[in-house]
Amino acid sequence: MTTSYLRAVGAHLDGLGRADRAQALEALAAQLDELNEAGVDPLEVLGPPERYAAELVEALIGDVAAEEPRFRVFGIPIETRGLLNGGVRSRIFDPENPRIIVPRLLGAGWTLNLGAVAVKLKLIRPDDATSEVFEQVPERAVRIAQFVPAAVAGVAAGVVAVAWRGLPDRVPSSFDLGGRTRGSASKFSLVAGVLMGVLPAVWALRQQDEVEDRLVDAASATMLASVSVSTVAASVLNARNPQGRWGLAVPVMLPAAVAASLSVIVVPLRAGLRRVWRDAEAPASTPSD
Amino acid sequence: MPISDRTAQLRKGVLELAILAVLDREECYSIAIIDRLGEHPALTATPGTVYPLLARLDKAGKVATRWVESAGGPPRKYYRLTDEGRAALAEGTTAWSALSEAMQQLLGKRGEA
Repeated sequence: MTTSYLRAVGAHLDGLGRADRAQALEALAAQLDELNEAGVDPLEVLGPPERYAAELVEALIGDVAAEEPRFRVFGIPIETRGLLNGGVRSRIFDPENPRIIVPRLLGAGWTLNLGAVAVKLKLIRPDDATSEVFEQVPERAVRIAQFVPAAVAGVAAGVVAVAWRGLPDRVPSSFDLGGRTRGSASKFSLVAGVLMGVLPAVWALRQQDEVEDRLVDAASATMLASVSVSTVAASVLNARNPQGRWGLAVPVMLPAAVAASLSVIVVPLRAGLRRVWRDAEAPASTPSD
Repeated sequence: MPISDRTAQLRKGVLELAILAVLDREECYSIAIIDRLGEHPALTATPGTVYPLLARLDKAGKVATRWVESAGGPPRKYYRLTDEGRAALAEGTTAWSALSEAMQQLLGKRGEA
């Protein structure tokens, strides 16, 4: 039991570096021996191996606060925990953090804190996004929000599918500041552009326990799907009309992408808030005996 | 961060300080640490909570470990405080005293009201 438990935990420690993983497993081996000696079943006190592994990963990589990047190279933030750490993922919607630009969830660079944007726009207050409010968000609103990125990604796929036959073998792949074509690539590069929106949209559709996680993932995926639509549309339109400045569609569409991803999380959140407020008001409106 | 996460983080923070305090008294292996904590009902914790905290303290260099032969069983891994751990304990003790005093005053006033 001890060996199989240790092996099962080890199989779920992918988020840790090699040294941390080895150190954690060595300590766990000793602890499992102690439990064995005391006649205690590790499953009973530590829970299922995958859950315990997640606890370990959280304890070890959570040393760096979720708001801060894991590393910095020449001042540029680098993050590696985005897929594993819910706290890091919620960085893109952290209303209590007034910073609008925050380190990216995965890779190098920065991204938008939609929570700070929502607060600046007075759509919510910094302390509105509590677990109590997220629990009150109607399930239907959450499911609709989860489907938004798929619908947006579907637009990109539709644009490519409709235009495919009429496209030349090479299509614009990069643009200068004036929106004119700077470089070109095979038209199959458009498929990669579509996948940039489709894959996160599929990821966002998965079932998760926490409403906050579902909405945050849907908002991230909506942002990527919107960028995918604008880049694919710019390439297709410039391929058809090479003299055009369709590359400008990408920066012009950015505010729309931000608005779309903001809506995906703020609209359901406000529905949850309305329920909380209504419940809070209910006793006051009930006549006392 | 949802409020329930904050509560969990608060408890983990207190337990981390409690583990440092236990190890300041004596070098212990993991189950002994859990037993020492269990002597105080409010600090009772399961191995599922304590072991990841020990891994974190180890990684942060606040505790050091060594293997010690055990009579009638496999060797045990003993944990002891490092200088960094003692500094963290001192800092945590000061912070806890200030927090505790402030809460006592606040809750005391609430009780009087």
